[in-house]
Amino acid sequence: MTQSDGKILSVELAFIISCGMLGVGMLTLPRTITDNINSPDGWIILIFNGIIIGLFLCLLVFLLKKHQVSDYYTYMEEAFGKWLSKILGFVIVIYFIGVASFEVLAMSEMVRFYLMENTPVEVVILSLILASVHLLTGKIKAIAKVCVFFLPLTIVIVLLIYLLSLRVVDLKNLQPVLGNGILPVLKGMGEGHLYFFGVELFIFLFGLVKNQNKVKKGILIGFSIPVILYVITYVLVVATLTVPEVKAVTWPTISFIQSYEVKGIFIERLELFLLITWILQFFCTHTIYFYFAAEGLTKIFRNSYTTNLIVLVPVIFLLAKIPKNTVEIFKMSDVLGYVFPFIFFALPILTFLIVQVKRGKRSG
Amino acid sequence: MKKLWMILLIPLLSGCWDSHNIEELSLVVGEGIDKSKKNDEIKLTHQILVPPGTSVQENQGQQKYKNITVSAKTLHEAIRDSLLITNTILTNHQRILIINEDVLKDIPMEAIINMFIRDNSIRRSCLVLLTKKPTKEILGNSEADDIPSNVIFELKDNEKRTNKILPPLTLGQASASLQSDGSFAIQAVDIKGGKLILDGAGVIKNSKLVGVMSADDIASLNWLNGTVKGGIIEASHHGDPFSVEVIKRTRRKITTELNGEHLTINISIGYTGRLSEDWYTKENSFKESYFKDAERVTEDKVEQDVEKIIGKLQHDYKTGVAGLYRYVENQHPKFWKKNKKKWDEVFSKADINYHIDIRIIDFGSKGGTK
Repeated sequence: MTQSDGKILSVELAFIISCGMLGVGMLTLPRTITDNINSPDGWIILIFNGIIIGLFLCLLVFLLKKHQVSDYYTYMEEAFGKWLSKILGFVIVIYFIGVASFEVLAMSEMVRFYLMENTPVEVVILSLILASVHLLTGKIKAIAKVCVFFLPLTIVIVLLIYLLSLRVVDLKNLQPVLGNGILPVLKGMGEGHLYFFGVELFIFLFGLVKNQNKVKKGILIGFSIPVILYVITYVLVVATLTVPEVKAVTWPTISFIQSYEVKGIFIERLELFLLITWILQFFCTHTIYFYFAAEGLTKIFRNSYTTNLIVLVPVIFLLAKIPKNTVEIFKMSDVLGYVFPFIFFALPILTFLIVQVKRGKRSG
Repeated sequence: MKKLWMILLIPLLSGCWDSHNIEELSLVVGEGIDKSKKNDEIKLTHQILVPPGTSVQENQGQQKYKNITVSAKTLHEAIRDSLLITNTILTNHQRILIINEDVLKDIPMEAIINMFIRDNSIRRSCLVLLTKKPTKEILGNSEADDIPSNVIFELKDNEKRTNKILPPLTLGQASASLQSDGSFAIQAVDIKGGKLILDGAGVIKNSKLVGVMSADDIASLNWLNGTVKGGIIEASHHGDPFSVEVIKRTRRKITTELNGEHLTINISIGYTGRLSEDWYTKENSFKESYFKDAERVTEDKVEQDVEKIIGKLQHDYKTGVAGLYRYVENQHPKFWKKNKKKWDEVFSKADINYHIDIRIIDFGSKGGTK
């Protein structure tokens, strides 16, 4: 295995997908779901949506394998022709840039509020972007290694924090299960896919995996880690804060960890550890999206990857400066949420159908 | 030599916009809120830790804390105004928030704790207490160099030994309760004989203070909720007093029944106990029937007390402090949805059946008197 071949292992695929998914969602997800359905049944939505998307992922693996896709952009070209595919590719790149700057923005917002009040936000944003540019010069292989290093750390620390929280958790707050009937839950499931931001990266990662037979296993593991973490988070946060309160706080997961103190160990307050590990996750998510944006531009314009990296720094920075307040930041995530199903559901299916017809014609 | 410029970059690493020297911070451990004499202003008292000096002489006679009182229209303004007197306020380690009764009679509790919930450094685990004395007096009452905030904070740990203390109410819980049904009980502190004492509780209904309870009422409320973690039940048999020490709760079952619009709540609770004191001269606990009788007497006693508190809740305060609404919500979600707005009314009319089962499982190291 050499550095230069740019291929990743299926394990690394799993880690990249997990890191790509675990971003700002974890900190706000209990509020957004509860707000949607107005009952404590969000965990059912998460589990069912997780299963549905898991099945869809299996379908995607099957489709992509059948057409032996090694690079999604050339695959799109085969389907839509040269110019249309370039335009589509550009839309996708803009989406990637959007998510990259949203993640860095959300991180800076959290840092500004909880950790460093007087430090200029610009400094926080820029230092994170520059750090990720440094990492990105190593391309996907370097990112994979960082993810493999950070993710276990995050999971261990988060689970430890959760374990110590069990004292304040009151499962009574999760009842009544399906108190409003099944209808609001089904309605909530319609929007439920939004919590799985990041999984769409898979279609672009597919061609990069070395052993194609292990792709399915890798992607399913990578997908299930965040889903399980999300379900645990949702249950604990809502059970501690109660439904009306979850809807009222800005960062429910952080508020939840601020609800208790641990006695006996030399540290009493644990939210600091969550914030620190979550900055690592923000960094990973940001870097991964940044990579795909730069890589996409390279594929479209056929210019140098390094140039694109440098060009994107001011773009991401300026985009992150657009939202003026917390509400606008959350709005930005909503806008990105509209694009997500298009890239994850519509695009692969459509591309597959067109390519299937075209190839069929050629051979017939 | 080529990498020399990297060494020149080192000074940049030291920069930190948010650095504060710790001795220049005012570490707040407790806050008190009073009404100001000036119209609609709020008086806020900070209790700030004073770091001990370096020499023995310095430490003698020096108090470990100082109190700073400022008044303003809003609480955050009051905090900022206190900066005219002292160093930057750091509330990360605040342990208690004491609110004066007069404040809650006029201003909704939701407004009072709003700033504390919003703030980025005050933790939701901070305790909330009520007092009828000015909070300045409470926070200024110290014996032997103790810090009043810490004394109060540690008193709540006695919950395991007495049933006359409410389970601690944190800022987070207060906020959550205010968001849902808005009624709960809040522990009160007082000064008696120059000492700080946890005494009684306030009843909050729709964010306002509607009544106060005595320490014995708290015990009854704890029995009703099944939140007793320890403490003594006093009763008497054969004309002599005896006491039963609570060991632990064995079960709690709360069911709600609906008959049309009429609500019945059945509470059944089980505890184990120890016969820990007996003044009756002809005691013979080695005979089973003897302490079975004692069991029955204590059960009757608790049930009477609980009935009294239920009466008070239903008719005096007209509010379901006890958190029983949760069971109604869980067991009859549709009924709850319809009657959420008039829950207090539904609760006042409901039948509440309370049954307790106390089992005396031991009688200490002495069981009979000759």
